[in-house]
Amino acid sequence: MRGIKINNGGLLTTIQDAGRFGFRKQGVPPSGAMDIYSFTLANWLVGNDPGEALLEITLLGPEIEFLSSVIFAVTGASLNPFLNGKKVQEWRSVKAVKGDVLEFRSPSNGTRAYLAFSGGFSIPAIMGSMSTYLPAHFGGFEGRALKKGDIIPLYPGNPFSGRERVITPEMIPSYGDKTDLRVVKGVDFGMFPDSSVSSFLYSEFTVSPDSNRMGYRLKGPRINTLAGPDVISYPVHYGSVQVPGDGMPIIMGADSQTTGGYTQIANVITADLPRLAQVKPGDIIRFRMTDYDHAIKELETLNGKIDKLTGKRHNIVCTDCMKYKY
Amino acid sequence: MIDFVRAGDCAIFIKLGNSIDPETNSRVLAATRLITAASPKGIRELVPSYAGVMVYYNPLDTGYEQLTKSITLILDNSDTEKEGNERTLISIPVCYSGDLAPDIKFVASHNGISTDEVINIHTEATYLVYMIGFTPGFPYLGGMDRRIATPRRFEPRTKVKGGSVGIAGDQTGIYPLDSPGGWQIIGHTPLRLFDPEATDPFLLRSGNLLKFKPVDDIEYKEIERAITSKSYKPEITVADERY
Repeated sequence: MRGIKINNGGLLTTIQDAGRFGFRKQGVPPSGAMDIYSFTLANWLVGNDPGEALLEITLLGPEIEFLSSVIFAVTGASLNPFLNGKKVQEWRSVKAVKGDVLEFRSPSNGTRAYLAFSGGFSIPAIMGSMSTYLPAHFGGFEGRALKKGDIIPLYPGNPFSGRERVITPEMIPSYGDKTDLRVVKGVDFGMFPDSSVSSFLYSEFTVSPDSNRMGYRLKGPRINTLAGPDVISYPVHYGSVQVPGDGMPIIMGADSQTTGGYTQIANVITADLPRLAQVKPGDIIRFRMTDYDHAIKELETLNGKIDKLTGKRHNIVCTDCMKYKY
Repeated sequence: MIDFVRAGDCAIFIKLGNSIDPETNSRVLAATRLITAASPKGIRELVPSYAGVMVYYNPLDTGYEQLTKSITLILDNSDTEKEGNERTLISIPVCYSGDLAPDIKFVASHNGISTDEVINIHTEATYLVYMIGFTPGFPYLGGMDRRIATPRRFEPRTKVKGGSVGIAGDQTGIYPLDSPGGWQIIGHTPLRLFDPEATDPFLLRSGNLLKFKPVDDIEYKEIERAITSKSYKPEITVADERY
């Protein structure tokens, strides 16, 4: 059979695709790859559809045995992949044959790596997507992180047999432990006094260990509103920055709940969400205010980079709108 | 009132009111329906909430100015006040006894009434599903009688079974899934509010009306069996009243 076997699940390895869209109004967020840039490039490297499911790997990577030949690629964080004891080049396609073992040694920088297999997985889609929604235990592989003994079937058709693909250095981001995130004004921005806005924009926030795919909890100066933290509950999404009663901002993640009753001061711009996804507990975050026009220009630029690479019109915001193969 | 507030580069919040009440919610649902029907270019999803609609859109396909103009035209050309909503009323069978209702005695004594009275009061009301959110399939319900209002448990439970019906403050609700929780659990429904593998994974929608119906152990088990064998049909009627 075509597939992979998990000898060690690593810290948190889940199957994610571009996301499960259309169900926010029913309390189901899109989930999906948190770094959509690295995700998209990983799929392109192995000749997959732009939204194909792959493995999102967090900090300590898994050990995987190949049960059949396949092309794979690793992008995103540098988590030191080794194939049969030899260092694997990231951001390029690699051939593996039956019996090969892929492992990840200690993380160097970044937080989330993306491991794509040519042809993708042969697992059922739940509500139209193979993404794992951990908080409600469904989707992906049995609704959970991978663990020892799991066998995941790969697409049974012919693997991509095109030329080797490589991402050139100017397309490869670098990740540090201090990240500046550009934000735009959120729905409740007006409820924050100037002093709070200054604190928010000129302070360093430390990412608390209590951070995961649902959200990043930050520690720093208290950010107060004029009228308390509670508002009539309304929708929140990945990148929304909420400020609850304790004045400590929380940045919503891909698995965040779909509604919230705390004030939302700002939103991380979509073009910076891939960089947010590479932040880990202990890192420093700084917020930088920008305007909506600039945010959208940055998104167009990011999208354009991918279009140029793939030679096709892409849509990084709306990956579910794309139905073509490379 | 129609206020557009940007919520990040891919979303616009349309504020239609400032309070939690059925009339505002009615306008929210009417607006959601009208915009959905007109389907302006670039919209990806609409999410109604208590007092506004979040419009998720693709800024690479359409601009903010263009989209808000289209939406204004759509809403101006219809009267969201008059646009009535056909209300679907769903009956939720609940067993209010024994192990399925661990906190009902506390709710009763806290309010100085009997457990029978708690059940009568809880099942008498018609509740409005304001919106679904927070967790898959979870309904934000309005209309609970204050006579059974009870504060959350001091110590939350690490696991509350999916289907549990509870009270927290002056709100009542149903846990769609197993989860930790601090609500006072007064009963349990065998109905599944959320089943990701079902053809229609969700039982409830924003704007639905809901009534709880007390059932005894025997009927509870019958319904449970029917649900497992996929032969159960929930009691759904169309309500006449304009809510």
